[in-house]
Amino acid sequence: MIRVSIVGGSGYAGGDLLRILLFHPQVEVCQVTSERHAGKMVSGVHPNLRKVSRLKFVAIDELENCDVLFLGLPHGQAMQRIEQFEALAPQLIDMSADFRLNDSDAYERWYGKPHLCAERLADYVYGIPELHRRQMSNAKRIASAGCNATATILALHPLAEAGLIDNAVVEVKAGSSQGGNSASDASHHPERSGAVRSYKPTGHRHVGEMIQELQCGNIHFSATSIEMVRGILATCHVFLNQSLEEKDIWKIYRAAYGSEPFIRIVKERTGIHRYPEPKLLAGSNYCDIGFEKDPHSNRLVVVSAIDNLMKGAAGQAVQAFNISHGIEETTGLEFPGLHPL
Amino acid sequence: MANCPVCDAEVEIAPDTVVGELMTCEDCGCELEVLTLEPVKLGEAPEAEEDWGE
Repeated sequence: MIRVSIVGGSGYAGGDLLRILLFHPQVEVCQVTSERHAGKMVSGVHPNLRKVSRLKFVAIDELENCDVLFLGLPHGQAMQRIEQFEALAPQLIDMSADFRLNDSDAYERWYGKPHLCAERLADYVYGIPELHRRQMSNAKRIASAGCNATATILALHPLAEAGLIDNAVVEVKAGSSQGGNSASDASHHPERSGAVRSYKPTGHRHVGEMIQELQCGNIHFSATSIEMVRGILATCHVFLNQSLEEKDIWKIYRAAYGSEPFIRIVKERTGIHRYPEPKLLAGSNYCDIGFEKDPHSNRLVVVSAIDNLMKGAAGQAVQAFNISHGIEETTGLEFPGLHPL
Repeated sequence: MANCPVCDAEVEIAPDTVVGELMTCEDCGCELEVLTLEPVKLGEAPEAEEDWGE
């Protein structure tokens, strides 16, 4: 068994990670930290885990050595204590943004402050398995990708790799769990309920990851909060630099993702579920991708959907963990979602 | 084997297939009709139009 502990396990991503790992056949969950809830049952914070786990939260300073530390701390905190974490476990899988960008100048540009340990950035593999599976094998440091970035990068990567993108305008509709479990004025029920709120028309921090991974600077990204708890729907308007037919697009996506266990091309011609929908993916690790070519222009609309806490956080982190340990990639991640929901 | 006229995926053609037979492309879900057998040629099967709020 691989002995795993979770740092920052009281958040939503940490809770989903714990839910997955408790049923993972090759994992023993040793400790889960929360400074705020230390000493309390994890099921008190994550009630879906009642009768599933009798673990209690501990403080970070009570952590013992283990094989793998998953870091689920708020952005900026992992890098502050990284030496402490490195001393506790040979493998670190960080779900925060601290080590996603491999360039310290890019980090400062997108996060507005210098990185505290820029010399370590090169040690981390960017955590989208579909792009970095080979580098993840035996990797000791993995930086799990951002949720909006995952939905966008997976939607656009086949086109970017083929050099087909002239410009891309991406609009993401995001659920409230993306904001974490800390209350704010914006999350107050009368304010949040029913909202269709443009919260980041430009300058979203995940754009740094998109540019890094797509190697394409012409990505224009906006995000809108909508009435949804889990899920992201990314609508990508891609202006192609050459004329392509839908058959050509099919070939490109089939070649890129045809054998990927967690990516499905969803493009039905009949019925009510013709294109990706985040609602159908709640709790699953799938990324569904669909597309339609505008017959009157060079615009290709690519639509992707994920559960932000799964393929956008905990699920993708476990997928990377599995790859790095030579475990079947889908282990612990087989849940196909619910219908209806 | 034949190719789907919509998405170009390979579609398996059983030996006892007949002209006019309907089949579904596993990749794009398009309903297909066998137009000819030698050579095998597939076309999009006519679908009932529906008001889908578009």
